[in-house]
Amino acid sequence: MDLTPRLFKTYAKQNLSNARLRKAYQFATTHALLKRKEQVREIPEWEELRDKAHELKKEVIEHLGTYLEQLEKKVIANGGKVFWASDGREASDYILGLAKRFRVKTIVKSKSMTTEEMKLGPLLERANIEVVETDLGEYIVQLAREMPSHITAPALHKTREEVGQLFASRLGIPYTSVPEELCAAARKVLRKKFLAAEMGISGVNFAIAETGTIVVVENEGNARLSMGMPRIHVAVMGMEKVIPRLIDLPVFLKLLPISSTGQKQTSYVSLISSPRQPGELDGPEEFHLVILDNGRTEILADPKMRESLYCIRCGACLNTCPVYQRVGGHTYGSVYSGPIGAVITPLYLGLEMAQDLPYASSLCGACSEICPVKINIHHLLLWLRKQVVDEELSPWWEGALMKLFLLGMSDGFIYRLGSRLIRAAMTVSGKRYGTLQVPGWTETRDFPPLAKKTFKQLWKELEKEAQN
Amino acid sequence: MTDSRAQILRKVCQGLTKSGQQPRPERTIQDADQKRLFASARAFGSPVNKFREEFERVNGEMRVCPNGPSAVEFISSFIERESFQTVAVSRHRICEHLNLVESLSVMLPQLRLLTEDIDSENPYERARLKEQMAKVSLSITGIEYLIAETGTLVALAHPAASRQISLLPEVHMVLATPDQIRPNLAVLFEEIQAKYGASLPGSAMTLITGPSRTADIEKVLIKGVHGPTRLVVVVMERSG
Amino acid sequence: MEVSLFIPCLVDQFYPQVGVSLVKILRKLGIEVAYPMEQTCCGQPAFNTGYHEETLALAQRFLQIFDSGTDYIVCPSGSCTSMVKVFYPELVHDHSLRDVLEHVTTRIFEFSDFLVNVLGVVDLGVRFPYRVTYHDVCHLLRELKVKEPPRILIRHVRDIEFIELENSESCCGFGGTFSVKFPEISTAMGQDKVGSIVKTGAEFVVANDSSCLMHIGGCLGRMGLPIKTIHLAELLARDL
Repeated sequence: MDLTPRLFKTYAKQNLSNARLRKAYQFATTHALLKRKEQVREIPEWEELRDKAHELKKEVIEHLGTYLEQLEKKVIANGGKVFWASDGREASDYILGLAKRFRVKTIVKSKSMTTEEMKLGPLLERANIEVVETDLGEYIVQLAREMPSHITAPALHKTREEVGQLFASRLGIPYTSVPEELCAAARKVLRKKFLAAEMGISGVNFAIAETGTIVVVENEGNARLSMGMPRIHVAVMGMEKVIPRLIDLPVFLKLLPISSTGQKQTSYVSLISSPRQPGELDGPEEFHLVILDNGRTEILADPKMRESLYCIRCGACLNTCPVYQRVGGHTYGSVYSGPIGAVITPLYLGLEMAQDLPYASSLCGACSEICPVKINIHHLLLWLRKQVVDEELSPWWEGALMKLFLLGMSDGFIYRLGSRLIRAAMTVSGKRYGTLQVPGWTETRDFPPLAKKTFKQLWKELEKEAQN
Repeated sequence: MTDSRAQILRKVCQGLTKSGQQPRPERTIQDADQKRLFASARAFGSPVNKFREEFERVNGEMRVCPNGPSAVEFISSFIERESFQTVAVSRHRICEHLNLVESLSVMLPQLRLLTEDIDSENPYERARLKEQMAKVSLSITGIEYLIAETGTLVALAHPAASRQISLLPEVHMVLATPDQIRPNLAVLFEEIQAKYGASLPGSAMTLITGPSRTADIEKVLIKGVHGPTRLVVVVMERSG
Repeated sequence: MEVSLFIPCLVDQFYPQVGVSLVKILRKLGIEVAYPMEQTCCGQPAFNTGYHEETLALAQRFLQIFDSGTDYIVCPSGSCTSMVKVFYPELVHDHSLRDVLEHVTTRIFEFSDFLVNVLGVVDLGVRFPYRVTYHDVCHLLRELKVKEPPRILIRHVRDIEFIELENSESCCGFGGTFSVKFPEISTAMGQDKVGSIVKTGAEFVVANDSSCLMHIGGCLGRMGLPIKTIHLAELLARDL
């Protein structure tokens, strides 16, 4: 099912009234936050690590060309190949070309938000190539033909019973709702795919410019298998993923797992520098690194929004966001959900496609507070709102109301006159400052009555008191 | 293809014109930063104890043996107890040093032993090794380093050991010595950088922290999704 | 010492007693209070909705009105204080206003922050024999980093029973225009906040922002609960 960010409000209402879903999101997000907190408590340098990560990302993004060229040079020197793709179509054409050249029938894929973003799977499947998602959560979502509902936990929205029914119907196994049995069934099916696949596609968490190494962080081992078993390994990276040096990596390896799953370290971190080297007993014959732009250079050109490219896709801002916690990932209609999704989805797809998203936040700032690379996420949302207004995408009546409001506030005299007029009108209409109906508010909440006297009026009495 | 490369780099350059494009490596991590940022990541007493504590936290199983022969003894009884049918042994120095393949074949004559003795440049032999490795119950390997802070094992792709030997079998057992332990990754990467410069050794370096795991179904922790269900480390106090 | 009062428009129109209480507290401490009658609104509602250019006019107006000789500017709202202190510098780029901007942003304080951190006052000698809980106002907490001062002031009140609120740092769901643009989400957040408040068994919920209290109170009222909302300034001025 294809979702769209245009329907944020519709999805929000639907998903809010789904009690089962609400509970699932609440449980999963609370769980992740709690585990994170326990780990952070043990690290007195946590804030300094965040500052350093921010500084490193800033350095890279502000010298992106230099670092990308350094990375490219080193990957090629190591025996890999590098392809620069302006958009998803170009990247998938390149991968398709490779697949044809090597007569690829099956591709195993590990979890990668970048490939989700460019819808790589469906593009390749159209060429009659079997593309298998191998992360358990992604596999579930692929079998159900759905979108991931969380950056790091794609099948967060599914119950064990739903997964059981899905596996029974799609894999032809007897129904079970025991997670261990479901996992074992997936392992069996996917193990065969790993052994048969001619090509493996992975994402990239970090790419070290200095050594020409890509770094992939995971827990299941599916990324290691996707990268190591098939003859060809294609790694797809968003161009912002580069970091300067090997010794910069530990900062990120400390921040990322704790922020995303509350693990001190994930089960596996792979540092891949080249295809199989002579003498080595396994590994792919070819290693291709696809560097993807897909709108990132435009974000880079905006000095305010540039900061969104620091994101390391940990998902912590989703977990802590009071909006995400309640409406869930699918509501955003985009592979990137939650606060950071509300920032980057409009940047990738265009504001007119996703103009509700920048407003889908109470601006409480919990996202910026938790972000391991200190992106000021809620401030970025504010600047996007400005763009919505500047591009005249907001409803006309909102603009009109704002004009009226600003007029009322533009002058002390007008303001005081307005206060008196409203009070007079309410007295005349017999409402006694009471039952004011505010559309969007009073359907579900009480609205307070206007005070009989404003502070401005009361101040005069206070002044007299002071004189006495 | 070169068109996109030039176009992307041009757009990057244009987008950044204000802030310029000079590399400023001095703004990345300095040695002083490193010490400060990872201060608590080295503030522990015995590295072996810290490693054990962290390793067991991530469901790793650790055994300390006083010397080589007692380690071999332990391995053999472990295989018997778990009734493993097929065991793969890497050509890591430590396995060779213990003469592990021969000792096990004498101690457990029924055991099917797989070694990685293939012509590495022959794709058919590599493909066959892969098929065989996928059927192994237990693999026994050496390892490059151990990280105390997180209970992590650091493996390298190697002519003596494949990448898959630590991944495909159901149980992975690692032989190690205390001198391989480093306090944290920052220290290790500094050491690697000093030793190898800007080219990492081998095609792949893998940090392994506990068995393969997932929590993708209702946050229930399950071990052994695609990789090993169990991870065992045998630390020999003396390798002789 | 002389202090200028910044009374947000919401307080002026709906909760003037909050302003009156603040005046009483400051006067009790021997501070001379000035109230610039020309003030209206800091512009936050327009700014947060994306109408930045329009807000700029209000910001400039605000800066001129408060560019006076008083020692401090004190405001009973964390949100409106943060608008001036944190967001004006991001909004106002006019060089001719740079000094004024600095003169205003360095003098403005949210009132609990002012009492505790500027004046060093923690005890106003007030008695309030009720069970209360405290909700952290997002902007006060995260933009202005004020977490302890309100708690310190509450703890010094005689006969008060203070219970910490579970998830006191989660947003109440108000968020300005967010509350009417996404009423379902906003209400859901408000109802969850009420749920935590109910759990404390408190008779009063205290916060340092009338907008949050308006939302929490609106939810409490519609849910038919007898728990009352009270601004910390009102609580502290009870006996004055």
